[in-house]
Amino acid sequence: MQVLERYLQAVSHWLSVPQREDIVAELSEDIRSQIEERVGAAGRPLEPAEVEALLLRRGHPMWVAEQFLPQQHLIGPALLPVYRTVRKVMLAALAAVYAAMYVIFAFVVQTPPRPEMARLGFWVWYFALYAFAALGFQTVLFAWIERASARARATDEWDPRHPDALPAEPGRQEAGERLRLRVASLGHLVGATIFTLWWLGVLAVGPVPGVDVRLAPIWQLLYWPILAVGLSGAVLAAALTVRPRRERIHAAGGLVRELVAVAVITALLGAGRLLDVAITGAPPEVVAQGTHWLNLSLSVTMAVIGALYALEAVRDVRLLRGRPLTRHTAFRSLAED
Amino acid sequence: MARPVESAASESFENLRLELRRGCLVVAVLAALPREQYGYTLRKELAEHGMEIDEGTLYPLLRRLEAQGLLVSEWREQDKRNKRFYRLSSQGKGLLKQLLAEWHAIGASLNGILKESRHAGPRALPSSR
Repeated sequence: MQVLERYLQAVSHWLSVPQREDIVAELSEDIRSQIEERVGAAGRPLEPAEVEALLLRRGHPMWVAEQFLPQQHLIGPALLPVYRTVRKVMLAALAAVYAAMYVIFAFVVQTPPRPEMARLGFWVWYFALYAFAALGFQTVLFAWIERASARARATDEWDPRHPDALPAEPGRQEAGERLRLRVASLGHLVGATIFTLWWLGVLAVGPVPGVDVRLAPIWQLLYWPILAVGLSGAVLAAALTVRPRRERIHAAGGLVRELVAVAVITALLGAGRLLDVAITGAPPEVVAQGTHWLNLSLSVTMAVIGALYALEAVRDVRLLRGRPLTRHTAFRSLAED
Repeated sequence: MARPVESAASESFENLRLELRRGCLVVAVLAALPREQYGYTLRKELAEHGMEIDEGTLYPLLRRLEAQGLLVSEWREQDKRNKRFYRLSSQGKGLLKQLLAEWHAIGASLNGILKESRHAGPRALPSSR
């Protein structure tokens, strides 16, 4: 019977203290009754192997204990699909950022030479670390949302007559979408205009005394493509601000612009050095370090901007092929029909 | 490799059968406990009447019904062993009556639906056994 005692002990390990003794006593009684019945039928004591077979049929101690425990979950069935989508997007974004960082550090920034596998291992390790932390944070956040919504359900505060209880009527939704698109386009228009004016030399940033930061020669080589990206951005944003309806013509124009922008950024990152810095009176090693970090920061920024352009390009391709990228754009397409 | 259609259908039938029986288990347990019994004998009695229930389902169910006030239990020695005996509480007796009435009403409704479907013609029935 030693195996039975050990089995019961294993079950009790998974039970909560207040119930443990009671449940184990009842379970023990049930198993002993079953053994007793078998002994009566066989007319002899059971072999250890027979007792083990009986326990095997009952299952793993954890599963047995689990049936006595209340069903609990961190994230319920309504939130779970959202959780999965957010997790997918978050991990993809994190992977894209780390891939870009790896490329920048491997090919753009001059770092001490290291074996390629060690360099790759370093970035993979840090990606895994941050992905793990991000997943933990996401899980805690969703568990909190689940608890909050469970509390709201318990108090039953939902009322369909409340203005925020249900999505707005289709006409209002469409108007809201247009307003959002107009505001976003206005922001793009302002940004693109400022950039273009700066690029044309109309706007200039005041000099910092003693510090001379100049664009590296590669920028001059790409003068016209960069101007084209800036100008086309301003024109497209202006068109969408005046008439906030995203149509195929916008997607086609946007796609060309995004592809040019990605090509320009790739060329810039490939050049390695983006800025030249001179600081009056500073020791050469300080200037070198400052140049290094400025170049690094700008490279990372350019890589992120490039990734965003690439994402926009994917969205425009899907829009041109008639496949909405998200529910948001799906609604937009629906509203446009 | 694709699963044979018969196997998938049989699995679906088994799942639905279990679901259907699960709903009846509470009624069966309550109906078997006007006289007190301990878990093992209750399980055997249910099995003898074709309502097999594994111990992992029965004991948590008994506890839940007791927590709801439908059963009362008592630890008592029998055959030199401590056993927990369950029986219906007065609240449980009242509830069992209501559940049985509901059970008969469901049966009558289902019969009515089936009768109507038969009269409506073969197209109304997705399949006949």
